[in-house]
Amino acid sequence: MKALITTLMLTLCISTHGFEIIIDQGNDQITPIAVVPFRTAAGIPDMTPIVEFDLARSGQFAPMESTNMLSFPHEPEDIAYRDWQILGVQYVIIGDVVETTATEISITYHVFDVTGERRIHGGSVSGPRSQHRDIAHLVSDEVFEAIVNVRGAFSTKIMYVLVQGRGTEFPTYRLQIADSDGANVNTILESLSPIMSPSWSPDGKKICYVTFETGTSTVVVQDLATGERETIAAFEGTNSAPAFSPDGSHIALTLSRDGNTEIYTVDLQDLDYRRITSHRAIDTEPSWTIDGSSLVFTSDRAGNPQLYMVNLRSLTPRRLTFVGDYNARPRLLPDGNMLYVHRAEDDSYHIVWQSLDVDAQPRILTSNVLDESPSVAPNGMMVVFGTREENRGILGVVSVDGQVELKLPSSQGDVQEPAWSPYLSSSLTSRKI
Amino acid sequence: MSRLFREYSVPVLLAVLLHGFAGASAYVFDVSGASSKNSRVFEPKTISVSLLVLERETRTSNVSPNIQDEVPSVNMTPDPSEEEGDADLANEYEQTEEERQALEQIRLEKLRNQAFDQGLLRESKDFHDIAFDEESTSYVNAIYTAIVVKWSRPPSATRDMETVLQVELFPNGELDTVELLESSGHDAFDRSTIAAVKAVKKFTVPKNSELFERRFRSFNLRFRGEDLLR
Repeated sequence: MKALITTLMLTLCISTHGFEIIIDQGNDQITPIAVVPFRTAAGIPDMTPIVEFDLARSGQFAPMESTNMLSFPHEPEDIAYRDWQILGVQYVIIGDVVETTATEISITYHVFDVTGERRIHGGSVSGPRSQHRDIAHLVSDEVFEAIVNVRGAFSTKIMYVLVQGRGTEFPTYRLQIADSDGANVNTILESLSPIMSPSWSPDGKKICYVTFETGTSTVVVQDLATGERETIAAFEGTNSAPAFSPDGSHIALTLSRDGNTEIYTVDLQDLDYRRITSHRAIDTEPSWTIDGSSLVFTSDRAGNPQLYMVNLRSLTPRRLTFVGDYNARPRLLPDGNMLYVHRAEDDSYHIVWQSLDVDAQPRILTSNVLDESPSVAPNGMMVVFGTREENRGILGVVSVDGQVELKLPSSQGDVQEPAWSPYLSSSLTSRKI
Repeated sequence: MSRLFREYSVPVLLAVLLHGFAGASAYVFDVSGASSKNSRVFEPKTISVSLLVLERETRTSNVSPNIQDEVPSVNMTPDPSEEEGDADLANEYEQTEEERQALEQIRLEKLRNQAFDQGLLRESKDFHDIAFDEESTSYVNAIYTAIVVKWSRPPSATRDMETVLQVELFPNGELDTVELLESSGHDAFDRSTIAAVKAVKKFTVPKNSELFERRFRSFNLRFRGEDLLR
């Protein structure tokens, strides 16, 4: 039960037009749904589990097991609402996957509201057979949006650093990009020196990161399509924590070129640097607010790491966190609230959610011991973070309400510093029916 | 005189306050005593109180990638405590129904007599209304609670969304029809309100058919999620 029911209020109201009861609170639950195994032409991989896993890890849905289903409809006219009402399911998704050409496949799907006893959405997605996972994710996106009125973010990617051979003489570092469910891994960069702080441009076409290829820290912007790289910062001392501005025109980063660790912004057109903070303490890990007018960053100016917000015009920082003695690595959510890493009293590190209001209370989202580097999906519904399991780094995903938390499958080695991509353009054909 | 008043002003004020307090408490206790005989104060048994701050709620933590195995079993079986609560509530109403009705009759009779005595017979309908409203309260609370526990909002829901439904019930408390009277403009939010009403299998309604017909045969439900985070 995620809802907070604190008081029972008497809500009797007799107005002129009749007797009315006001329902002013609820009890939000994970919605039970059924993804009926899609009818799939021979030789095409089954997309049902992909859609099912997408919807489940969103934290909003609990797909029922197909073995408990009473019927397996594939056409809208075959839906028996009574069957699904008995099972307590609220939405049913059916699909039909066919081969359109030798290389192309197409899925036609429908979403039904079981209580309302009506079809609420239907669509058709087609594309190359080799992209069946992308097709399934796009179906998930559309189903998600039809049911909860929020754009789905399953067709997005997650970038992270994979370290293999840590503790040996020659550890290798890989910058990799995978689908949002951890599948389809692509290596972007491989190096014998550390790679850190990967971050996406708002159009998803470029990335920036810190590399130590030259022996010292360097901030690099890389074009994903061409592989072309541009060095943004290679000053003496620290060059770290780059983050693209929401309009893609600037990067905020941490430099110690003036003798102290401060936050700067750099205009990507003319590489014009502007210093944002001026304090003898360490200021680092800048993150842009959604409107691009301010930065939220970590500073130990109060004696321990806390979060501050600074407007880029006034340059006067305001402290945001007051609970605990370690709050770091902020990331802003699309709705203006923020996530960061908080050390609890038992010395465990968790991802917490907090609004930017005065007196805002943090809310713990994750349950492990060493959770780090939160990064939020573009629709603001899910958060990917780094955590540890059996002494190695892996990725966790948690719904932004903390309702569902799970680990993504990963290859051997330490996975760290995930960065969720923005919405990406799709080459698939999709239409509503 | 004024000097006397100044000297004794504190004790006098204290005395007045104490008397006022005694009078007020007597009034309060009398009123609560009377109301407990005539109408039941609804106890929110079916609601579990929980606070959000730094508190982890029931959830599927540490779920392995194969989440499908676990989530349905957790969420699709009805919460036994909730069901029990509903049953208890129904029983309690059952046990006291006759007694309560008898008391209500006596009280209504008394109200009518008073009205007659004062030559205000033509206004007895107003007294009747007041009595109805007092009696309605416990049923309204029961309906309110039954819907609140079933109302699961979509994540897109915000505090400024509002939906009004018109509900019609059968005399046994089962749902006859539910219709969208005012849409919030958001499909998912509207759907969640209708689903909440339909999820309540049976509402607790008065056996007094006059009260039922006047208040609970058909009424409106206004949904707005004031407890939402945004």
